[in-house]
Amino acid sequence: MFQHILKLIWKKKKSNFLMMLEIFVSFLILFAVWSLSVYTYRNYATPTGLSVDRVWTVYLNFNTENDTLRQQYRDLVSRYLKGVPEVEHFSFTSSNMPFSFSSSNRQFSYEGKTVLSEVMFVGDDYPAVMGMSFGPGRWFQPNDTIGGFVPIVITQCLATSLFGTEDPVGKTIKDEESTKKVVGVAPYFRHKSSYQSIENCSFQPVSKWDSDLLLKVSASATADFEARLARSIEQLGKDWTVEVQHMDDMRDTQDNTIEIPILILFVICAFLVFNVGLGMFGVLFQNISRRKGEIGLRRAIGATERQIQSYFIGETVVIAGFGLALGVFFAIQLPLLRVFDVEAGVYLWGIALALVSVLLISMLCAFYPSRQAARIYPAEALHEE
Amino acid sequence: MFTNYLKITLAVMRRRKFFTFISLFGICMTLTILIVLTAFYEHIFGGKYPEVFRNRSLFSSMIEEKDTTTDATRRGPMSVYFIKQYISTLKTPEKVGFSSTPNTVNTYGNGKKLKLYFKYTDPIFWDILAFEFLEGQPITQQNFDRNEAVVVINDQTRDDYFGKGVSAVGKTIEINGQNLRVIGVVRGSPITRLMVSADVYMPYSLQKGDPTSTSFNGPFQAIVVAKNEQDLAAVQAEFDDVVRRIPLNQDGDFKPHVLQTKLMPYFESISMGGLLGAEEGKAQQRFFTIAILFALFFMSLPAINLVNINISRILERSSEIGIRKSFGASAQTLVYQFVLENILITLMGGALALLISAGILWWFNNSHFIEYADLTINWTVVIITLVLSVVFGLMSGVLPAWRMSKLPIVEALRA
Repeated sequence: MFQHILKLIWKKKKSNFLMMLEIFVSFLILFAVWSLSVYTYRNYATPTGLSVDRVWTVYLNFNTENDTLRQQYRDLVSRYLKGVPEVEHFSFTSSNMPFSFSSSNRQFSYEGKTVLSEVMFVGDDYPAVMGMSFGPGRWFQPNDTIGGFVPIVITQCLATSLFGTEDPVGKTIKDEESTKKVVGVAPYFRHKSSYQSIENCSFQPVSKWDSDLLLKVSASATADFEARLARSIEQLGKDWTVEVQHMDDMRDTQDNTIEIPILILFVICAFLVFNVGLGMFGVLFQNISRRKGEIGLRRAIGATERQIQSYFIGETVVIAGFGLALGVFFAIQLPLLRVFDVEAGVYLWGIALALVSVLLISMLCAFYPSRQAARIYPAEALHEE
Repeated sequence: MFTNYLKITLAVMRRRKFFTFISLFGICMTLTILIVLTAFYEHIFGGKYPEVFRNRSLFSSMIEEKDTTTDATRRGPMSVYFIKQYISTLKTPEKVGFSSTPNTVNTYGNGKKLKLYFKYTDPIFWDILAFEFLEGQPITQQNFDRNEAVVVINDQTRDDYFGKGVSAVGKTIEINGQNLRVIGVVRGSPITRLMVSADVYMPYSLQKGDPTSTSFNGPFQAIVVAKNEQDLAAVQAEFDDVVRRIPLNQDGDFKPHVLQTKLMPYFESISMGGLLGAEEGKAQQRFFTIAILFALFFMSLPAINLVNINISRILERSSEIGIRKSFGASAQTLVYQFVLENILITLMGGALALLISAGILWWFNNSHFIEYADLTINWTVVIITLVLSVVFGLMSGVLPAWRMSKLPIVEALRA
């Protein structure tokens, strides 16, 4: 049967070649789209390790270059916030807080290994503000800095790339400035968007530059309270500028920058695939109506309707198979050559899903024309010849 | 003769509506997507309201200072001091204006929270840009001389803060704890024009902080307008020369050895340039190469589809060709007819695509997805894609038709 189909396909290699080419290109496009979807979904499904519910960011600028003054101002703000009942927890932070557009990276080294990681400078109450889940170890405390080492909390991802399977707590790592002691590990901290992959991140006590704030507010905090809060903080100093943003809005903004391009890509691909489907449908329809004689003959010598139908669907699947085989050959190079830093599993899922969707589309397109073919009466078809 | 072909084409299109639909759908969809995507490109990178001089403008990049012993770097936009000292003093440009990088501030007017994008500007900024004033006037040197607390707002902010259509000039708006007097209302521009668009514009003298500071870092960007496009390179060269002789600031903890900053065309100056190698100034070319390759790959699928369908459809018309030949039509006449048919179908698809994309763009402009979006159709792209699809149509239609027209009449009639 298979050999027979091959022979017939070979007889019309010119028109079938175009169909194969079409399937090959569609496979590549679908492979890219599916891989991207699987990759994005996998990231989305990993725990974030933080909660943005009722977290407000206060961009606070003291507008002064004086370090001692800044320290005094920070104490002033802390004292004020402790007296506000709507503020459950608060923490100072560097300007690269979660879901902001800025980032700050550093090289950390341990026994000759060097790893790049995001560094956030935050306060002692930070885990409570961000609702962070916590792994081995603890968060740094006010007296931690005294021992000569700077305490640092790192994510599991950074711990694995620095220490492998060893216990990270208590180890010391270096950056350009000083030596740091790991006091705790956070299992997850995906702070750039809901679709961010697991990346290195670390936390150190607030430095002299940092003046932005993160607040966890109670459920009773309203827009009116926000206005009052902003004004009160502003009036604590002379030249201060204050701006309040809600972290869930910041996250949505970040997510949008990823969702919108993917959505556009999906729409374009849906149109492309629909177009290809229509084209295949048309060509198959035309081909089958041209092969009426052949079908009549098959029917006359005893082929059933079902057999005719499955024969034509089979032929389409074999043609598609050639295009797909070529496509898989190219697609498999991506995980083999490790072109991008993505797990091989993502590509395999991409290939599998693209295979299934192309086969489904081609079978769907072959279904109606082949049923028309099966309905041909042998007498009529042979009469025309 | 021409009307005859037209009639035949329409008859053929009507006879097999499904196939006509497939061809039209393919052409139409491809064109629509290309038109809409290029409209977005134009919207972001083309020089539109109020940046009419963008093609002869240069924008300052970040300042990057590097301590070569520890590899520590400091990057950021520049201060007013730096711009006035080293950019405003350049001799080749026509005008140098500046404004702060986009930033937001909350104001709580009428019991509701408004999030506003604000910019601090200098008076020349208003000379360079062709803002349309709905009422009032721009910030001038006089406002600076008298150190006045004034502000120019856009119509959206006026409508939200003072009420729709209410005149705002002379009234005050509270921003950052300061009461500012509105002196002008401009028609807003979309936020995608990062260098110029904002909801409120204030004189830079209102900025908080020490005005005598000689730090190079601040929140400002310069807009440098050259006399004409040919002068751009000369302006860049003069600035590069100035940068080489800037004495480095060694007062703080950070002691840099190298300072780098450039004046760049718009495309290179926004972050995307960095990915594509903005240093060599070839980012835009590279972007175009990638975009064209992508567009060709994307168009190849509908093209193969079209070729495929045309080839399988030509056989359907063998009897028509046979009859025309037997009544004396030459191969040339037949090919001519098919060419015309293909062009007609392509043009119809093109016209449909124009209608649909005009609809999509109109919808987007009115959807408030991006305020003040002003997407328009780029006719160059329309014409290029139309020509391309005609070429594909010819390739797919003419070759089989030519072959068919060589067919002996008897065989053509028999099929």
